[in-house]
Parts: sequence; structure tokens; C-alpha cells
Amino acid sequence: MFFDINTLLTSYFGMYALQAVVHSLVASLIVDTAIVVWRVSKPVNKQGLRLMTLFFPVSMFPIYQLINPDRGSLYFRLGSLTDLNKWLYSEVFGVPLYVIALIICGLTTLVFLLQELLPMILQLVYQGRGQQGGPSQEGQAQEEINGAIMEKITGALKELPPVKQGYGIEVIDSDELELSSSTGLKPKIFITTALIEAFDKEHLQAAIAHEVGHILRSRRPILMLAYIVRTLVFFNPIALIEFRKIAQEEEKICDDIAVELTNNPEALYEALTMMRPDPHSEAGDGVKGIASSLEHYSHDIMLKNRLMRIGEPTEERANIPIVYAMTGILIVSLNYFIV
Amino acid sequence: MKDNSNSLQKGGPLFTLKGTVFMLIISALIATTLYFANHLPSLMDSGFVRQYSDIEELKRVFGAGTITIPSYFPEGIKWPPSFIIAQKRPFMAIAMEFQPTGSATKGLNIVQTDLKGNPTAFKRFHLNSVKGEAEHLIKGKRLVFKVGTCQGGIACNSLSWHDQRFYYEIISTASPLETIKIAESMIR
Repeated sequence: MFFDINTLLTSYFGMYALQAVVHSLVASLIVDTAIVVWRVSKPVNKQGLRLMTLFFPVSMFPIYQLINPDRGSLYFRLGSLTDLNKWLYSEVFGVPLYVIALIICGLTTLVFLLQELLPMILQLVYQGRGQQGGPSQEGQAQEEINGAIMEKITGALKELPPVKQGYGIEVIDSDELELSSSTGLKPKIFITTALIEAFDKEHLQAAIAHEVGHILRSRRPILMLAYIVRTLVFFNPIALIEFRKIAQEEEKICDDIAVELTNNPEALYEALTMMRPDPHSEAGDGVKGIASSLEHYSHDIMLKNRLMRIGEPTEERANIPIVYAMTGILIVSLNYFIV
Repeated sequence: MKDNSNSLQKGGPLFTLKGTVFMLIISALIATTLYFANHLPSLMDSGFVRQYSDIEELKRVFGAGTITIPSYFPEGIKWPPSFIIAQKRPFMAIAMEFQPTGSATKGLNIVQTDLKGNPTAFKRFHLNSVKGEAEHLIKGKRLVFKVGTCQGGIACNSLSWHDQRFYYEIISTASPLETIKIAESMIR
């Protein structure tokens, strides 16, 4: 077992995986600092910087090794900033750190499987079967939805500017205030009847415009690549956290698109406020209850952040290409000496 | 609908410059912290890989009976070793490098590791292309002899064997006969 761990950690794959995690930690630190120091405010720029924490650690190791094949040797490690092998074989209360590292990566993999991969597979299955992949499992044929609801949606859509990519609207009979979209070749927006009844025309427009933003952005190659890279580094806890942050910035970008399409930031603000989870709702008992409460809490925090910035003018003070360049250079140069 | 939220930035050059200076300072601090923190595992446990100043220090730490040093050196290889690294954890390993006289190119690299260890990381130079391979028997031990070229296209050869405890490898730019004599002087 000992020999296998050591062989694994000193193999190309072992070094790649290990350094990918640590490099993404360093990248995350540098990016967070850059956002604060240069007061980067636009979500699209913040997202661009955060994407570096995904892409760089995955792509730089092979390049580093090409530049210097001896980078993994002990001779290089002696002069490096950090020799990870030393840390891995250190013991904390008699437990080697590599055991703790493997446990953390294992838990991260589990979270990825349960929270991201499985829901994605289920959604694809539902879509494949022609079922609604939206918020609710209970559906109702469109002809059964009453005319008033359809009229409301049609009225809201009429005043939205047309977009190059077509999309469909699917109404779901549900009591929950829910709205989502599916992207791909035939994008669709799913809206529940409760939401349509609760919102007026302007709120509906703003909500639909937000989902249109998602549809418009779903085809961007860099975001598709981010999803692929995210899947490849399923074991990386830093990538898990950073991807969440990237997704949060994506929501803010779509808020900006919604405001641009509707020219009505107040409507979006009110729509989001109405969709905030009820703080007094019962979360249930036990672990499930705690998990549900935590999810509601984090979702609420995110909504609050979005609400605070809707309609606020954002202007970058720093030269963004230089911000990108400096951040990238610092990430690449520091990580070269972490082996 | 075109996403215009990423249009060209207008920001102030002075603000950008201030930020750049600050980022460089922060990065220097991160680098310094990492560099000093890197010594922590060695402070907690002295068995990790480090450089040794001379053979005597190596003998003090590992025990004179553990280290195998050749008693034969061909002409043109300098004693003492110019560079020694060794570790006890995660496995025992010692690597010594000997410079050729009158030149800065690598002359001789001797690696000794635990049988469960990985000697590759300890080699300063490697046989990149093997042109020939043969087996030799010296004092009852089976040795694998390889001839080829090392980094930079320099002609070199290697000889490796193991006993009950350790794996040994000699990589040398000396002639094959000299390398065999070095190995003979190491095998008890």
C-alpha cells in the first residue's frame, strides 16, 4: 500500500492531480485579491477572472513539464517554493496528510456526483422522454392551462425584444413560484402557474428576460468549456467552490441582460424579492432539515447580493485587460514553483 | 441580443498601476510565506529530503554501515561528491553527484534507495536513449548494464543492481569498463 501511494503520488497523473488542487487554491487566492485590489465590479469580468482558477491549474501542468521535464525531480523540489510531497507525508496526530487529502477529494467527488452529475443526468433523461425537465414533476398538457394565463404570457412576451435564438415557453401546473430554463438545441423556459398568477406583466417580462439571458449565454464556447473542465476536475474541492462562484456571477450577468432587455430594473428587483424563500417556512427535522435550511440560507444570501446590485451602474476603474494579464502572469509564475 | 456587458474598459492608469504594485507585493508575500512554510515539515520531522554538506554528515544521520560509497574512482572524477541529497521518509534514499575534473558537466551519479522506493526522482541525469543492454554477474550479484545517451546527447551508461535491502544505480559519463569497476568496489 505504501509503495502504491508513493508510486501514485510521484507518477505523472499523481503529480498532475495533486498540483491541480493546490494550484487552483493559489489561483483562487490571487483572483480574490485581484478583484478586491482593482475593485472589479462587473460580474462578467469577475467571472472571467474566476474562470482562470478553473482553466489554469488544469492546463498549466503539462506545459510546465514540457518547459522543464525535470520539474518533478527532487533537485527542482529542493529549490521550489513548496514541495507538496513533504507535506503529504507529514503526520497530524499520527495520520499522514495524504490520507486526509484523499478523504477531502473523496468527499468532493461525492458532492459532485450527488449535487451536479446526477441531477444533470436526470434532467437529460426527462428531456429525452419528452417530460418537463423543469421545476416540477407534475405536468399538465398545455391545452388544459387556462386562457388567462396564456394571455398573460403572450402579453409579456410581446414587449420583449426578439432574440436571435428562438426559445419555447412551457407552463407547469404547480403551486411553487418557480422559473427555470433548459438550454441546448431547443431551449425552453419553464414557468409555473403560481408564478404567472403572482406576477404582473412587467414582473413576468423581467423574469423571462433573465432566463433569455441564460439561453443567450449558454452557447458561449468558454462557458461550455468551463463545464467540461469542471467535470474533469470532479475531485478538486477548490474547483467546486470556484464553479459555484462562477455560477453566481452568471446569475448576475443574466440579471444585467434582463435589465437591458426590459429597461425596467425595478420589475426585476420586485420579481426576485417575490421569489425569495420564506424564512418562516418549516425546514423539517433531522439532517435533511438542516441541509434544507442551509440551502435556503445560501440561496437567500445569493438573492440578496443580486438584489443589492440590480440597476446600480457598474463602471470598472482599472484597465481590465491589464488586470487579466497581471493576474494570469502571477498565477502562472507562482504555481510553476509549487510542485 | 448582443451581450455588451464586457465592453472595453476606460479606467484610470494610475489606479491600475497602484493595483499592479499592490498585487506584486501580495504575490511576494505569498511566495515568501510558502517558502518558509515549506520548511515546517522538515522541522517537525528531519527525515524529509534535504541537501547534505558532506559524506560525514550523511554518515552521522544514516549510519556509516547504511551508506555504500565506491572505493574506486576513475581518473577524471572528483572526490568528494559535489552534491548530496538524501531522505529517510517516505523511503530511504541517497543520491551523490561527482563532477569530472576540469569541467562543469555531470560525471557520476550514484543513487541508493530502499527497495520499495522510487529511484527515478533521485537521478540527476537519465539515460534518454538506450542503445544497448546487457547483464553482468559481479560477486554473485546480477547487474543490468545499459549504454546510451543522457541529456544533451552526452554518451553515458548505467549499472543497476539490488541486494536484500537496497537498490543501487550508477549513471556515469565514464567508460563502461570504469563504471563496472566503480560498481565492483561498491559490492560487498
